[in-house]
Amino acid sequence: MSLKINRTFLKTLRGFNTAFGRNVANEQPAFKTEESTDETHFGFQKVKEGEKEHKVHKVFEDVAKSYDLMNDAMSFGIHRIWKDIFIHRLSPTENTNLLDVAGGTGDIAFRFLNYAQNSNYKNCTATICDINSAMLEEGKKRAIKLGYSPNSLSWIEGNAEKLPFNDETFTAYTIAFGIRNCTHIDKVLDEAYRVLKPGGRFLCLEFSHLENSVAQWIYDQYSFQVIPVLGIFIAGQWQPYQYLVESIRQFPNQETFKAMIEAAGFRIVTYENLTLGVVSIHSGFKL
Amino acid sequence: MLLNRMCFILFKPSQHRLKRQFLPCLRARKFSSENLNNVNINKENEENYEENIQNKILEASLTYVQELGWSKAALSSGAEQVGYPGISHSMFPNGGGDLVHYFQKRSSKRLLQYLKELQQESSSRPIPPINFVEKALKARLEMTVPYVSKWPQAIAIMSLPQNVPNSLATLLTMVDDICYYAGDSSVDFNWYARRIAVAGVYKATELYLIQDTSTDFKNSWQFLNKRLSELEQLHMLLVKSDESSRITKDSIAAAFTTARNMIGLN
Repeated sequence: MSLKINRTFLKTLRGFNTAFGRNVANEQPAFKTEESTDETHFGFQKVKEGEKEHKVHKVFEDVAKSYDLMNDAMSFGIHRIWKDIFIHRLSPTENTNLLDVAGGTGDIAFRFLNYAQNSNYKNCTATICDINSAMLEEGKKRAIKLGYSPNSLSWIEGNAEKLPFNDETFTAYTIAFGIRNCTHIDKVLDEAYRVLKPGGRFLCLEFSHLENSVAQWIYDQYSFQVIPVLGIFIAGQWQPYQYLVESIRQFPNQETFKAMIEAAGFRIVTYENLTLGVVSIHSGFKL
Repeated sequence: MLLNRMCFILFKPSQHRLKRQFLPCLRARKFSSENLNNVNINKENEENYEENIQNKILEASLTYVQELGWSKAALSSGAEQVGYPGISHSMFPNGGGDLVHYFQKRSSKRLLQYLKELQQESSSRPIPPINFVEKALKARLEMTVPYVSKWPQAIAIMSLPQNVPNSLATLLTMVDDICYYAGDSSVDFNWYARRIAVAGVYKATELYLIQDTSTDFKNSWQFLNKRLSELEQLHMLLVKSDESSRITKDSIAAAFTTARNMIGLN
C-alpha cells in the first residue's frame, strides 16, 4: 500500500522540480583532486583520495531523480525546517553578498532571497557555486519558474576546494549538507576564509552527532535499518543510502569541526544543534 | 623554630608536602616567567581582539539608536560604519538585547568614574549621603536622556526573560557602586534594604523620565528629589520605630519579670 503511494508521489515529483529536496544531490564533492596515494574514507570504506570524488559523483548521479522525495521521506520533511532555521540564523541584512557553495539547486539561495524580500532588504545577491553543472542547470530552471530576478542570482561551476573567486569577495558563505562529501575539509574552510570579506560570516549546516547516547542508538537503528530500505522502495537503490548514513558517521563531531573552523582562522566560532544534534549549524566570523 | 612551627600550622601537613613537591616546578616557572608573561600577554590580546571589535561595533551602533531603535538594523549600520559588512551584526545573537546591555555596562563604567570624582570632592567638602545618591542617580539618568525616545523599547527588551539576568546584574552593580561611594558601610540587613531602595527610586524615575515633557526634564529631577526625601523620611521612621519598639519590648519584659517575682516563681 505504502509502496503504491510512494510510487505515485515519485511519478508526480518526477514531473516537476519542487523548490526543495534536491539538496542531497547538491552534495557533490566540489573538487578535482590530484591523484594521490593517500587514503580517505568513502562511507566506511577506505578509498584512494583521487577516487572519492568520482565515487561520490556516481552516488549522486544514481539517485538524483528521487532525491526530492527521499529527503522528505528520510527526514519526515524536517530538512525544510532546518534550512529555514539556517537562513534565520544567517540573518542577512541589506547589501549582503552571499556565496552558497554546493548549493546546486538553489535551496538555500532561494530562501535567502525570500528572507531579504520579506524584510525589504535591498541589494542582496546570491552566488551559487556547485561542481556539478547538471545541478546548476536544474537550479537555473527552478529560478525562472519561481520568478527570481536574474540580477540577484548568479550560477558558477566551481570546486569548493579551489573557488573561482577573488579574495574578499563575499560577505557571507554558506554550505548546507555539502562539506561532508568533500575530500579535504580543511581546504574548503581555507577557501571559505579567503573569499570572505573581513567581518564576513561563515555558516555551515551539516549532519552531526547526537549528544544523548540513547537517542544516538535510536538514530543509528533508524539510519542503518530503515533508510537503506527506504532507498530500495523509493529510489530503487541500496548502496547510495548506505553511503549517506555511513558518511554522516565519518564526519567529525561538533567540537572537532568547531576546532577545524577555528584552525582555518575564523573567530567567534559557535555551533547550535538542531533536533538533538542530528544536524548542527556552525558559525564563524572572519575578523 | 617558631616560624617553622607557624608555617606548619598555616599550611596543613598535606599542603606543606604538596608545596615541597611542586617547589622545583615553581622554580622552573620562575626562570621562564618572562616567556610565560609574553604568552599571557599574547593570550590576553587574542581574547581582547574579538571583544575590542565587538565593542567598536556596539559603540558605533549607539549613534544609530535614536533613528533605528535598539535593533538589528542599528547594529548592522554600526558594523558598516566601522568598515564591516552589515551581516556581522549576527555576532550578537541577542540583537537589541546585546546593544542595550552594552549601553548599560558602558554607562555604569562612566558612572563609576563620576562617583570617584564625587567622592574626592566630598572628602574636602562633605556631601550628605542622600545628596550624594541624588547626584549620582541624576548623572546616571542623564546618560539615558539622549536615548529617551527609544528608551521604552530598551525597557521592554530588558524585561524579556532571556535578558533579565543581565539587566538585573547591571542594575544591582550600579546601585551597589552608588551606595558604596555614598559611604554605606553597613553589614546588616540595611545593606540590602538600601540597595533595593535606591534601585527602586532609580527605576521609578526612569519610568517618569520616558514620559516627561518638561524642559530639560525638570519634572523628572524634582520627582527624583521627592522620592529620595521620602526614602529618608521612611528610613528615619524605621529607625525611630525600631527604638520605640525596643522600649516597648523592654517594658513588657520588665513587667513580666516583676509579675513573676510577685507570684514568687523566681
